[in-house]
Amino acid sequence: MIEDDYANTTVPLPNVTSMIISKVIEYCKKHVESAKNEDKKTAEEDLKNFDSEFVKVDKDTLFDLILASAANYLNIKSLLDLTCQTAADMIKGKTPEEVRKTFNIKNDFTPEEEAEVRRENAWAFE
Amino acid sequence: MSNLPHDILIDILSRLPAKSLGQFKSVSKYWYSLISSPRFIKLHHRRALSDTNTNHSRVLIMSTHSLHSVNYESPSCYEGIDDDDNLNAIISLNDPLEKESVGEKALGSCYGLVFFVCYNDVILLWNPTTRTTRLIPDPITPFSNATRFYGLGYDHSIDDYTMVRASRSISSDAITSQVFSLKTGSWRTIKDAHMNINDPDEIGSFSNGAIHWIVRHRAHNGGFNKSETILSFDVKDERFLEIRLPNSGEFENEESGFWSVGDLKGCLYVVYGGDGVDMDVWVMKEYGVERSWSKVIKLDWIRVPCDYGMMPVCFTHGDDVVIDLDSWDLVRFNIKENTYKRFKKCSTDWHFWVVYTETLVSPFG
Repeated sequence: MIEDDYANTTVPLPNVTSMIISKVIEYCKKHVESAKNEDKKTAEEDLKNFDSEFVKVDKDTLFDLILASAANYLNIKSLLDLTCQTAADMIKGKTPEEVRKTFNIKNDFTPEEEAEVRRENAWAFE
Repeated sequence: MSNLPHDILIDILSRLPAKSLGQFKSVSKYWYSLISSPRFIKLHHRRALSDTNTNHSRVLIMSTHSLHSVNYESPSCYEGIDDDDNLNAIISLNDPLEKESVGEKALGSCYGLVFFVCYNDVILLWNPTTRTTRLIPDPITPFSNATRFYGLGYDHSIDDYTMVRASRSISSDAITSQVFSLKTGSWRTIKDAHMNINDPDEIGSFSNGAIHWIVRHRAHNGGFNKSETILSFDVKDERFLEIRLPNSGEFENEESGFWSVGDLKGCLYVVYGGDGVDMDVWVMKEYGVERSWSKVIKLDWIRVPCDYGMMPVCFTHGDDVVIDLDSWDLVRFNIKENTYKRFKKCSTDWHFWVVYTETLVSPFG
């Protein structure tokens, strides 16, 4: 995170929209406030609720948040953790075809190759 | 979104259950090579073992004619619940031993792998998730038949599973042992240890970097000796040590009870139970520190309907404890409320059980 000494320095953030930045700032503000809360139990409960509401966004916004929180100059581990876990939960129950649609991936297996991979991993499809 | 950086994709995928990953290998060639890579498998394995959000473990139940894997967290396991959840609460597995034409005597497990000790000292390693099997070659040095004992452990520092096979000499106090590393694929003899122990349990339990067996102290006067203790083998240091059981002064006159050892939520535990004996579970809160033994569960045998004995299997996410009754039934016991739920019975007779974690780890290292 940005040290106190650098509070007034400009940090370059290419390829990140102002909408994403304001969301990230919202996240950081909430987490800093929560750490100051004396009542640890309600703070934890409150933060948990905030986090689960925070990631209720569309897929593209989620991925933009992942990229922003991973950005070397920001490196917000807890946000990266939260957003990656959300992405994992999102694809957990999907079929391979649905996953390709979600990630915009081209299937570069031939039908025979794909059948072979499925056969090799039949245990996963049971 | 095909422009997600490699490291981030790995982070996301490493959080998925093994089954999803098996399916996603067919998404694309890139995903196939990523998920199959040793580095990824190791990362996923580490995550599965330490994940506090999702349960990656199951109970394997082996009966004479059937083999089942049970997701003990799923409510669909319980008697009286009929909905068929997509999480596959109870699944039937094909016996890996049939394929190899060997008959098993005993089974054990460590994290992602299960092992079977078979007749003729053959050992079969198995990943119940991916169904991959590996027959471990016979060690070159034959052991005499008496008092052999086995265990499977995992060394975090080198990311390798280790199979231990030991034997106590009949004439002296020497413990001869060999270890088999999955990565090297060969047996290696360990320097003999000299300890006054006798009559070890055949299968050890892995906890805190070591394999543990309940053993007895040898009686010098040739008399009947009931003084039990724990023998441990640290898989990294390759050293045998003794760990004393909790203050068992109260058990001296109990003839019908017996000790068992295992791992509960990362802590070494021992349980004293048996026919008509209350189940007392002691947990070693600080591993290796004998005065840290604490009694965490005390179950009156009259409360839970069993004839012979109870054994704790594992803790659930919500700190209920899964208990095996008479090697016949499983129940989930809520300690605070003193209530229990019976699991559906998968087999028609009595069973062996072990706990394992769903991973992509290969028995070939």
